Amino acid sequence: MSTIVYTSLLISAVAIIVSAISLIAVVALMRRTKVLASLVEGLVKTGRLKLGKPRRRYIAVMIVGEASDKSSLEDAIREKVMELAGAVGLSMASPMVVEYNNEIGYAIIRTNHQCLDLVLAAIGLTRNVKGRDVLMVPLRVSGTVKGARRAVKIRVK
Amino acid sequence: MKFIDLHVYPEALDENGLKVLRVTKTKVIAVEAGTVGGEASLSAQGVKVLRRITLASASLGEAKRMLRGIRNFYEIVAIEPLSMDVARLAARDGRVDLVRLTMRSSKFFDKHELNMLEQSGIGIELPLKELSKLRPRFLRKVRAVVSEAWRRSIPVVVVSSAKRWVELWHPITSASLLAAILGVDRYRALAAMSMDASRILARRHLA
Repeated sequence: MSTIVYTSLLISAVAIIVSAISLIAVVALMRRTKVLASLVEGLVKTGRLKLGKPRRRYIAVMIVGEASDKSSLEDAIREKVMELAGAVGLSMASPMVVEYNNEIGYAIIRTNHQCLDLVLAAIGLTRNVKGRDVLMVPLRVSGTVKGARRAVKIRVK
Repeated sequence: MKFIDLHVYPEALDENGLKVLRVTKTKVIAVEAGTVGGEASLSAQGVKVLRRITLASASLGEAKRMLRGIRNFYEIVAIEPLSMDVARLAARDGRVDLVRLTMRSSKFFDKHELNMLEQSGIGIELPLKELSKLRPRFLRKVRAVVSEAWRRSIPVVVVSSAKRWVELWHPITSASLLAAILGVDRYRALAAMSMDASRILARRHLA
């Protein structure tokens, strides 16, 4: 009888010790992950680390003034990106006018998440397209064309 | 976030200019030395209009003479120093709100000037019109001055200085330009721009 009690006590003690150790291990792992996450976050924020593949960004812009055609608008933006960041910057950003509506006065410009600032700055700097005064006002930055279109629809309504 | 443009010429506020201000959700504008034609439509849009003056001088005596009694007429006073004496006067004079950093005045922004600006609470005005010319030497100076000013928490107010509607800027694009030049986060630049202009207005109880 006593051996059964001793054995059960021993088993429960071992179980308690094992669970305590595993709890400590889990807490340590969580803290380590947290530290690592904050480290990576800091590196990403400072721009020292660019995570993953470039993700596409679609900028919905409203066009104020005399609008021109799609290709000349794209050329004007590319020219400004080139002026700001050079050939390497232009090749990385590769801005492209995906959609353009002359009647409503909007365009959707595609780039990637790493060069978003550069393209937004170039959009701001573009004031003249083929000798015509044009001002582009960004409405929304989206990860999908659908999201960008939605921003335009809301604005048009 | 409250967007503020502390330097606009009255000529920029035509039909298209008002449309741009509406889209950009600008809440306060300071119009250079003059009256605005469409002030009623601006107030209907919820835009607060302030009067401002920009003084540019190389002579200390002339600058002092121009500053005399100026606060009775204008809510915002900015100085573009064209000599070291005027730059020092602008950095310590209580009547001045902003010292303009342009290609002509950039050489007067040294560490002593920044020390004086830090102590007096006067801000640095950075016109986007000058910045958008993308002159490398000026950009280098801007990078040095703005990063040091942010470190010392001196207000850096980015203004459009628009003479035509097409020269107006959206806050996001101006923050992106500043971020691209300074190599900082866009939201950091945007927050700094918005809050620094508010600080200048709060100093004069205009916010």
